[in-house]
Amino acid sequence: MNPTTELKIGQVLTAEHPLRLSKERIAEFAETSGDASIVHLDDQAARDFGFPKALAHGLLGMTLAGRLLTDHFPQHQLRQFSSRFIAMTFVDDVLRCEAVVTGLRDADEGRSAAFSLKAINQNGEIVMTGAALVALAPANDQQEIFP
Amino acid sequence: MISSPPIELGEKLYAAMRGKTYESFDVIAMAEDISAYARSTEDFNPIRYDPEAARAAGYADIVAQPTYLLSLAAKRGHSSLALGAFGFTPDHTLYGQQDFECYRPVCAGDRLKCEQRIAEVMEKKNGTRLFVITEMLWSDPEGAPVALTRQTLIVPLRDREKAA
Repeated sequence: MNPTTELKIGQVLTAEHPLRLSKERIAEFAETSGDASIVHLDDQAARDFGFPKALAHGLLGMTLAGRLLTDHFPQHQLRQFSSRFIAMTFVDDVLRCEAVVTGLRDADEGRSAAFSLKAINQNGEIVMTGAALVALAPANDQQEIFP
Repeated sequence: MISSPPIELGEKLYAAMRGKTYESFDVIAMAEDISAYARSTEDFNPIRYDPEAARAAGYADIVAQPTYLLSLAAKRGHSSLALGAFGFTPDHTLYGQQDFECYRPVCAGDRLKCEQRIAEVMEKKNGTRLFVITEMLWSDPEGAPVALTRQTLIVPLRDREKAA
């Protein structure tokens, strides 16, 4: 894929599939992420801490945004990637994600695109905002093509 | 409810926290871990599962998601370590923000060193929130940086909320 020339400011990239934060999804991520806090795994424990039900990991929403970026651009072109977890996500929430091109820059080290990111739950509430910087035409890529 | 930490807060504590470094650790990114992590996040990009697909895309081996690095630290207890040393426990803290500076992707078989430090400690929101920013620098055996991960942890200070 060569989106270098096609990107425009304001262009929106949308994750093809939503991420359902099912009990199973959270339990599996608890294992692979190393964060098996009881508030992620047990509704009653979450209620004891004052939450309505078990919390999903904020990072799961970030992985959805990461996947959106690395499905569109080779991963070695990803330079910066940030997420701010502005609202809690809970078991059975369904997250969607989008990235909007906010800037395009030509510099000595090559062309790059800046994105704003957000994840939205099934009620249309923004639960995560973020930003990313993606290199579009790294000099070393061109060297490989024209040795 | 997230409880207030039973710790005497103030500039003396924050000064002791700032710049604090933790013992580094070495780790190898394992192919099966990278794939299991990807599956648990529903990232089905073939470069996360199939070495041939990864090599065809120009990588040495299967490629980890950026967030995978955090699992390597969490499984060694390093996520909560930074605050735990000062008496904070996970039930005092919220995960506010996560930042990555990506210098190159992590591939299966990569040997990495992780050095963690507390980068910044500050009160915000009229002293009702304590922000603690920790950084982990990940580098290869030659010392070249692979990634910098920056975690912003937020400690709500409920007692002060009530007083305010």
